[in-house]
Amino acid sequence: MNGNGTVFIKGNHAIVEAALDAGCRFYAGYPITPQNEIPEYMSKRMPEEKGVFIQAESELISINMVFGAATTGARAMTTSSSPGMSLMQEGISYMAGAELPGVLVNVMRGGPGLGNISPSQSDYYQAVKPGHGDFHMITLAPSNLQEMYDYTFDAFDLADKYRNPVMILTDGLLGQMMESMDMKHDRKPLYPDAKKEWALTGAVGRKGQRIVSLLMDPGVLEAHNIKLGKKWKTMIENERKYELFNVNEETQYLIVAFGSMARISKGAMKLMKDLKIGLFRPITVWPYPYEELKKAAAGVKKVFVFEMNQGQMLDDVKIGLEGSKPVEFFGRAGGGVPMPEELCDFINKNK
Amino acid sequence: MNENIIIAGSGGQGVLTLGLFLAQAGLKEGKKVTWLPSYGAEKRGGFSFCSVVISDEEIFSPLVAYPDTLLLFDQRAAEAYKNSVTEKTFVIENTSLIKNDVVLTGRKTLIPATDIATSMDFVKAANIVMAGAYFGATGKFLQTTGEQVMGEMLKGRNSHAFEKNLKAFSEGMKFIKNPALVAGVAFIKNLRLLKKKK
Amino acid sequence: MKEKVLYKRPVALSEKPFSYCPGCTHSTIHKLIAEIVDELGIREKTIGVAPVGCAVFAYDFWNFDVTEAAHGRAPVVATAIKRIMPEKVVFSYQGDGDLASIGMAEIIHTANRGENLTVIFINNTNYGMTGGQMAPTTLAKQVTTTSPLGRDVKTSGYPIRMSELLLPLQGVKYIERVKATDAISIIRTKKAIKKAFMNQITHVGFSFIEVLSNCPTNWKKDPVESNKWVDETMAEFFQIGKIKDIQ
Repeated sequence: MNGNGTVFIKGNHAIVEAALDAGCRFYAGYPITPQNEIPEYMSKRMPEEKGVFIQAESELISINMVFGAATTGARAMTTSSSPGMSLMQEGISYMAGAELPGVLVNVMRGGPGLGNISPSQSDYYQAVKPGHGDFHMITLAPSNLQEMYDYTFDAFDLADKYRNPVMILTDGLLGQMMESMDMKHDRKPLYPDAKKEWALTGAVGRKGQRIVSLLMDPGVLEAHNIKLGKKWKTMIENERKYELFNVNEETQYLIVAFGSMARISKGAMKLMKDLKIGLFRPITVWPYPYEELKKAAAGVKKVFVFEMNQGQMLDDVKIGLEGSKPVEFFGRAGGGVPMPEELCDFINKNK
Repeated sequence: MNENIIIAGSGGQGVLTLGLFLAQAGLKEGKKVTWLPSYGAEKRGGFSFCSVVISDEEIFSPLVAYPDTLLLFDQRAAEAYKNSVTEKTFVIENTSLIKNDVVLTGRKTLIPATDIATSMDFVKAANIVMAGAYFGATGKFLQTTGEQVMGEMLKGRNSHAFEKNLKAFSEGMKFIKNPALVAGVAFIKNLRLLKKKK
Repeated sequence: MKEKVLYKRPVALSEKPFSYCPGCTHSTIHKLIAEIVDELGIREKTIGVAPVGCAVFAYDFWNFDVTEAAHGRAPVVATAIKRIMPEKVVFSYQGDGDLASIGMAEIIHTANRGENLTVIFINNTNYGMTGGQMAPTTLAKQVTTTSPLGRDVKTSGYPIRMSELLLPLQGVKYIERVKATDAISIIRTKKAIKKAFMNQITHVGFSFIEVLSNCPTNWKKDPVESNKWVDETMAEFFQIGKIKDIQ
């Protein structure tokens, strides 16, 4: 596609368009609701962009194909929903260990186990504390379709910038809904011509090189981890992202919510105009904007944490606040999605 | 304008398409719009609904608890949403498939959408008849907007399909704008209910 | 007198001495691959995918690009590399625990997709690197560290013949089972692996070479005895020869 323009689009389709605009030329995915529109639409769009689309035979295969694609230096992506993302934890860890960039999208559904196919935020833990080993992954949580598009694009740049997997953490509500957004087909990916010297493209005029995560010699793995640790520190310093909504000196109550729950919270705030209530929305749920949260909450009486789970991000809010404010939590579990009115009731009863 | 719509029925009745149709009409008239479908495990026959929000302002929650307008396709949908209706809700009921009156609050208008579509030998267009009823009864969007959107949504299909849908749309509008017909449906329904009680 | 070079280290083989157990055929097969890469002049466009197992260190010994893969996933890592760069020569090198157990789905589907790849399958009937546990290929009654009384087929099933399992898949073009126990069988192995590489270069499609290999350390046999066991016992169950060849 050429040019820009406003489109009315489904969340899952916005992800595909963003990935292609960001130069993604390899996609592997496996069917699972509520993200099926991604592989379906990608199977049509990717060949148009002369890239590779593969319907993998499992999520394990999807992520390991992305690993393989990343070794060549190509921009690659896979997508899934919660149970499939569990299977991908292996590959995410290997990619982080081998310092391979790649983008993953989790369109969350209810769990644990097979759960259900309703929107949920119950993979927060799995997203911000992924896989085995001592590593981190930048995780962006969009809240509307413009952000689904923008942050998916950003994810590719961030993955290349840090040579690390990056996740888009979204859910069935944002994946399935339609909304207007602006396409930015003219946006240029960062590092487009950056030579990926480490990539395996054939040992032309040089010795063979390797991509590995196995480091058996004494002390080598520790040194590698310390090097990675510096990378996580840089990410924490540079990539924290958040939104403040109606937060000012007069704010008395602060809602903390991410993704679709932040949207529903804004809906609730609209219904409670007489209350001085603001919203703090982490956009990167890793790295979590702890200091910014504490600052935003400085003048408020109470902090409300709203999630579509039983209190996962709540841990991070408590870390950020360092016990400085009372916290009230409201969550819906198992694919339950609250109406704004439910949040209003909770606030009224607990303010 | 801030119009919160819920459309409910069963898979295969075109509930989601009708939602999309109304959403596109809103877009065409320069509004902000969200469309949120249900996505059941079954492809056909399962409960199906969608929420459409059309507004002059940025839309935060795409979820609708208490709709301004509720379009009900069948009895199961009416049972499911009877408690979401407030005094202010405008309800359009498909009386072809809703025989028991369970939605007792709100302002209500009735149309035998499935029967009208069937009489046109085009039962699949019951949702378009309902769309016509919505346009006719609420006057929130221009008829020409609806016709344009329909043309866009059926782009690539043959002109016959477009004409048939256009007919279904105008039949829905015509019916709802005719007080005698609407009253007649209500009368027959009450008569039936009365008989039942006896 | 003028010196005449009869044999030298292939360019595709690194200078690092092999670290495999004495008598282990991994070294032999690594060297064969390096020789073939040299002979075909493809060192600058060969990309190998190493397994998890003893041969994870294969990349230390080859002088061309090699990536690791998670246990069993080498064929799908190779798939992605080949699809993105069809002009490269891509192969996976996998043991029997890697390929026939944890990576069963990966190898079956890669074969079934008919990827234009070369797979070298090293079958030594046990998990070598982890200390000689039972593998899907372990023979009936064979003693391993997890079948101390010998593999009981009633509870552990029968050994899997991977080559025969892949035979009916239409995407598979060439399967041959070879061994590397003596000069003649090594020459045959080289021929088979070379053909599998050529098949990829000439776009014939998916080729699978199963090499019956020894494991002197875990089998608790000296190298000569271990090769004898391959010849007499293993090769009786895993029949040597061409299994499929479609040009």
